Amino acid sequence: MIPDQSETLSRTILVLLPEIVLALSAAAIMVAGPFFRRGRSLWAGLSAAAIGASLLALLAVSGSGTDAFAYGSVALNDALSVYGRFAFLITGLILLGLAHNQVGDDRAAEFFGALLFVISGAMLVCAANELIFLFVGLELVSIPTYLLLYLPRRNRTTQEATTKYFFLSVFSSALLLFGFAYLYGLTGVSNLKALAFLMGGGGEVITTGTAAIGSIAVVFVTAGLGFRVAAVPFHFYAPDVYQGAPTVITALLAWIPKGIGFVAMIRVLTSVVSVGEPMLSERAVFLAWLIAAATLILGNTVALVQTNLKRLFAYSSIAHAGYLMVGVAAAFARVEDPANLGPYSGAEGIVFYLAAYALMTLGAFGVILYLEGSGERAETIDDLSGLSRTRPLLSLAMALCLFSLAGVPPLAGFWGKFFIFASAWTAEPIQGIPSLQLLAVIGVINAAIGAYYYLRIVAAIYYGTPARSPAAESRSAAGWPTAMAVGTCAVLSLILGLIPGPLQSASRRAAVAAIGQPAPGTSGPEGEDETETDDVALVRPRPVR
Amino acid sequence: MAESLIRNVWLIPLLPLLGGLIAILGGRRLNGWNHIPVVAGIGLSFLLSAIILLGMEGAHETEAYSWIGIAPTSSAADPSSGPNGWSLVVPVEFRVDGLTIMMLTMVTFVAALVAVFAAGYMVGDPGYPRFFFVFGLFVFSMTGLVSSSNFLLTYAFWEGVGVCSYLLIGFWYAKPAAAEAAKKAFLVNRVGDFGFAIALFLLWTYAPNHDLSYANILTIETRDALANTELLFGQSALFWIVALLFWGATAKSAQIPLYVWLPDAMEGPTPVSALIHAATMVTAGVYLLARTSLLLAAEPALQMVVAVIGCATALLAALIALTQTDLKRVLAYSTVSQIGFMFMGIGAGVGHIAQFAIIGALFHLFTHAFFKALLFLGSGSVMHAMGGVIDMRRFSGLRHRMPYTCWTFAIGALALCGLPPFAGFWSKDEILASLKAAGHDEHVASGGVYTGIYWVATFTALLTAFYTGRAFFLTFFGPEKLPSPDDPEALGADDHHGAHASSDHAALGVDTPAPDSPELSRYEAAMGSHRPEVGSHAPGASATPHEPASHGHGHDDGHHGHDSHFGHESPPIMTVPLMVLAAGAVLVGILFGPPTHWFGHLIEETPSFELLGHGEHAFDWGTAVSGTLAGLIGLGLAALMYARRTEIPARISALVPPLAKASWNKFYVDEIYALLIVTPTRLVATACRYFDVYVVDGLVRLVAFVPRLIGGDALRPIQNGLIQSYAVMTAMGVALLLIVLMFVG
Repeated sequence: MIPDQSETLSRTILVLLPEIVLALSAAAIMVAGPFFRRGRSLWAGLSAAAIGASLLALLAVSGSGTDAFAYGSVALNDALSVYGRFAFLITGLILLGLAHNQVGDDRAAEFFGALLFVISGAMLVCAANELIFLFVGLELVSIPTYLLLYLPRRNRTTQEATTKYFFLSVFSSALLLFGFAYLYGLTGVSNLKALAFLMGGGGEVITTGTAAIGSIAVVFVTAGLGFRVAAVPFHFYAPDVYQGAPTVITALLAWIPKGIGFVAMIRVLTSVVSVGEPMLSERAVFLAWLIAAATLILGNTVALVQTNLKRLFAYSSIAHAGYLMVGVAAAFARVEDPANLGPYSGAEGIVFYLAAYALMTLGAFGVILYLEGSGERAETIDDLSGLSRTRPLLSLAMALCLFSLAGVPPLAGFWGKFFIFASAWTAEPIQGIPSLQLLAVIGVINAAIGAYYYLRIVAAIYYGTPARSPAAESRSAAGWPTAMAVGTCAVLSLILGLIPGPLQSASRRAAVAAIGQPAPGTSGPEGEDETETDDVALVRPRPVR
Repeated sequence: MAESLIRNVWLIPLLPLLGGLIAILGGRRLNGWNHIPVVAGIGLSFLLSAIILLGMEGAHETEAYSWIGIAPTSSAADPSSGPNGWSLVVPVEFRVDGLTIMMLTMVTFVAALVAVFAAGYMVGDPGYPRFFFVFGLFVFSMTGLVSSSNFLLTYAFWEGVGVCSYLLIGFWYAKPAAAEAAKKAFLVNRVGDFGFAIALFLLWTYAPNHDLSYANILTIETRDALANTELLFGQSALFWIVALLFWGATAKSAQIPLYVWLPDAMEGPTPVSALIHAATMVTAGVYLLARTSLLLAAEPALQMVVAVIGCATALLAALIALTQTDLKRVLAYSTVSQIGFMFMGIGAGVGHIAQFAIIGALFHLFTHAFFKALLFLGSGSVMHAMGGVIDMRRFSGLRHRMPYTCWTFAIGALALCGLPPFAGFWSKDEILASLKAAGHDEHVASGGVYTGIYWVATFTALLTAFYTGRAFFLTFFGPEKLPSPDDPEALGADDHHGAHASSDHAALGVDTPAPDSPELSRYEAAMGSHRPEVGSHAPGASATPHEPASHGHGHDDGHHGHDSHFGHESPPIMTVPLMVLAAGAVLVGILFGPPTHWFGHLIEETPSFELLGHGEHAFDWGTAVSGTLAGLIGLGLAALMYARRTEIPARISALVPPLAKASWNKFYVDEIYALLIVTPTRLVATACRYFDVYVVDGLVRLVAFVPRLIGGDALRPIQNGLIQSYAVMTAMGVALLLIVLMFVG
């Protein structure tokens, strides 16, 4: 049967319960902040409790399907949505662990509130099934991020980093909205499932005449999201902002915007374009091909010559955006039958890679934070040399994260690269553009280059001579939440590499759900055909020409 | 009980691993008791294997856990559909069937005894925990190898035993000869593993569903599918797969042309030689060929090759063993020779006797494990008593001093000679009988070759009896003599050995580093406090043999009263395993062999073996008599020549000087390899080095220079920190991408 408006609304609110819990807690913490002058541990503890409550809410609602509402609802509760929201909540906890002592008591409430808003925004992006709603989610991440950049340390460098990030972020949002406008103009709908349906066999909106308009939409949306994932040529802010920002916010910037950027690409671009006309999807593959190749090469080669750790990780995160763009290129390729994806799919690779990337990046930044927290210098590679003598466990965690970043089996990063390259390698060749197999080869060569600069850090840690004086007694220990966050990242990187099966099947389900098209209105019993036509007409206005 | 154990057969590999981990993690805290967890783990594994063996019916497969599973989509299931049909499924699955459980029981039984022996032999070594860790790791790999149920897992464990073998041969890594031998073993094995790996790639490519499990590959349908796929030089995929598997097997099982690593591997501790290089690991190749015998049976030409290679190896190794003076080396060549027999048996698996021949080869593998482990442990006991000397010219007449070792060694020797009713007789007889039957089978093309092989094999049996008898009589009979540092052989001064780095150190005694080794001082420092010198009256201390496993004075490790065994019988912890193995060497042939057919019935419970030809085969009295006669003649000749010291051997070798010299120098195989393979490889390596230094490094420097150029100079104006320019660059990027996209497609 066809859901009516109020039922759709109530179901949507139910599905969005985890985000609502998180956003309300964030608002409460921010409001309460000025009235209760308490230590930062209170606010950090409350935030952890809020994330825990949100996690419980997510588990509670994870069973309720939304397929029947797909063409009318702003939020979906499919496998991708659950996977992404779960990942952002877990990494939110890790981030909270890393951030728990990074801000002064007086600004703690605002800081942790903003962090919770960022996480809820990221979760909204995962669930979004609507152009406008997706945009709201993206902005709910961006705006608190400006705050976070400036709150912990108010000095000239963070000021500069914040300003740069603010203006360029706004600029990219404008590009994104422009692209969205073209998408809407092309089809007349803003619901993403309906958009995919119309672009595909259902609407025949893409013809030789409108393919150019489709290309404009794809280019601008890619540009807007490409800024968030720091893909070339939208990456310029990344090195400056990463270096200038407080380390914990650098960690956040390296993960959250990249995560939501790629999830949004799966939602708005690949799932919509790959089921549609080959004319458009081929151009989209070429676009992603170009961006991926440029991003890989630039990120990796420039990272080679960096000595500042944060700047190195900035370029390394650009390089990882390149690997993920390889997956996007593969995901753009035309899918004949959304129900049958083939053994390797680009979206699956992206989703797997994102989880692995979150763990290894946050782990590596966590190690730097831990060292900073215990009063040691950790700005350049040389600062880390000989670390294994003084801190064997921390060095092991760093080595695990770096090996995972380099893609050494049997760590999680290896499988991420494997799935992405496999999906590119097995993609059908397309006439007229360079093959995806060549892109996979470029990716593998770049992975080898990447291994060089990661292993340089490992070599410094294990074979370098300690520069600092061995006055080990005086050093203080950083807080246990930081240690736990780092440990979690390293151990999970190893476990997910040794046992990739569960994560891989979850990624597969997410990829299938993202591209799946619930048949409009046929989920109900026969005999209600009139209502069905009404409803389909409701979500399917005539395409605007 | 048995059913639940069969489902959890992964416990059998796991227990020795756990024991090994406890041994290394406990380290010094275990206070010299590191052997206990390993012995207990292996012993438990043996118990579990025995329970499964008694309660087993038919074959079972269990998947312990799926490491990664990317299933092929339904529409793309057939392998011809191109890349989209590629799937990757790596299940960790184990199986229980006749072949597996036989190997499991044998490996864990022998390994448990060897571990007990090693507990006595290795006492006082600074690497005691490390030794038992690698020991446990090895048993883990070996039991995993024989119980895994797909080729990929088998390959992983195959590499695992290779690594453990490397670690154990090079256990005394400070000694250059041991390090060299370990390297040689590893490299030669890599050559073989390469073949195995290519075989797996081919199998994966052409097998239905890309499924490498035995249940999928070892079927008539898959075999026919592979046989109908033409691959290269007009031969089918099946041909190449079987040939490459055989290639892999020759390295692991030390057959021509890749046998050269095994004799040198005797540099490792003697228990290791007994376990790895006699009883278990070297039989992995035989196991692999037996496991895939269904595929092999479809390629009669390759079966012939297997038989011929086995025959040539058996003969060559037996001829070399005739003149060696190092007791362990005689046994090493004898191992190579006996595995040659097993290969002959595998190769004879043609026509209606296919199943009989494979069972014969496996039975020989089974009995050989008992008596060869016994012989090696016996030689270890001799070496222990002789203060690390193993050169048979430096001691003799030990039968009164070491009665237990002497008589258990005698039993092992009789079994190796193949005299009834010892174990070796029954299994050797089955192989000879199947060779003879293959020669007389009119369905088999060129049966004459098999008849020829049969006679060469019988002659080799004679040689086997001769060199075994020679070793036994030289060691235990004749005038009583103990090694002294004044022996002319002690310094490795004889010309023959001077050329071979590994041999002359072997003459020094396995435990002693080369006198001029730079590592010596480190080695001495490590060993020193634990190793009281024996024969300290020796003038040149550097050449003094050290007792390999002497017990430190005042060690509180429960082995009191054995401060020095020089010239005396070994302690019970070493002789009891000898006796148990001796009992096995006497009994396993009668109990499990042709008289009861118990072994045959067990092996028949292997799924793919039912598909082999199995006609009736009666006990062949003619072969039994001729084989026994060959053994008796060989042994008699040895007794005649060596039981009392005579001039006969010297006169005979004077009669045929080139032949004797060739045998003494191992037919110059190492030299030929050095000339034909090592030297060209070194040349290529040198060329590669220059290429690497000047071309590759140059390229690398160029590649490293480019990003500096980009990052440093080209990008600096762009990456200038100004928001306006970033925004402009972004906008230009968007415009560029738009333009490119408008003109494509």
